[in-house]
Amino acid sequence: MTSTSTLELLGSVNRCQVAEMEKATPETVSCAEFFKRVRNVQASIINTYQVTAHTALQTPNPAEAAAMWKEMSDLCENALRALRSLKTIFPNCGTPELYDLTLDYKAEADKRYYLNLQDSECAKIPAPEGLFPKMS
Amino acid sequence: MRQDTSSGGVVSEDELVRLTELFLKFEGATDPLSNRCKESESEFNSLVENIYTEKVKPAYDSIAFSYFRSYVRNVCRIRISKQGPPFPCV
Repeated sequence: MTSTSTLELLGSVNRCQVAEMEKATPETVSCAEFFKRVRNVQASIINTYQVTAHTALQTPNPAEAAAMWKEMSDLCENALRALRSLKTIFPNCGTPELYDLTLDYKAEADKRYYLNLQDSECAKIPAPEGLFPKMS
Repeated sequence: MRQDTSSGGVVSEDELVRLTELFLKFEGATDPLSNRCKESESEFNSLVENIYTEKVKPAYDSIAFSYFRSYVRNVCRIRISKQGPPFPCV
C-alpha cells in the first residue's frame, strides 16, 4: 500500500470519527459517551499529524508534501467546524480542550502547507551554481 | 550522501548537515507543540538567516531571502528522502 492510499484511508476513518462526534445531541448521548467521541477525534488529530509529518518527509517533492499538509489542515478545519457548536451544547465534556488543541494543530499544519507550497514554486527554478556543494 | 570536496558551495557541507538535522527535527516532529520542535525550528531559521546575511546576500544579490530559505529546505528534503530507513522517532 502506498503512503498516499494510507493517508486517504486514514482520512476516511477520521471523517467518520468527526461525524460520530457531530451527530451527538444531549438528548441522545450522555456526557461520558460524548467524551469518548471527543477523545477519538483528539486521537485522530494527533495520530494523523504524526503520520503526515513522517510521510511528508519521505518525498523529495515539496508539492506532494504540501498536499499532505493540506489534508491535515482540512481534517482540523472539519473538526473545528463541528466543535464550534458542540462546545456550546456540551461545554463540560472535553470540547474546549479539543477545540484549542485542534486550533494549534491546524496552525502548525497550515504553516507547513504554505512553506512547502512556496518550496514547490522555488523548486521550479534551479539554485544558482555554486550556492550549495555539489553532491556526487 | 557524499560531497565532492573539490566543488564546495557558498553554503558549506557542515552547515547543510546541521540544517538538515534541524529540519528533520521540526518538520518531522511528532509533537509540533513541543519545546524540542520549537527550538529546532528557531535554530534552523536563525542559521538560515545568518548564512543569508553573511554569505549569500553579498555573493548573490538577486536571491531574495524567502527563495534562499526554500532552496535550503528543498536541499534538506532531498537529503532526508534519500536517507535509508524511516524516522518515526526523531
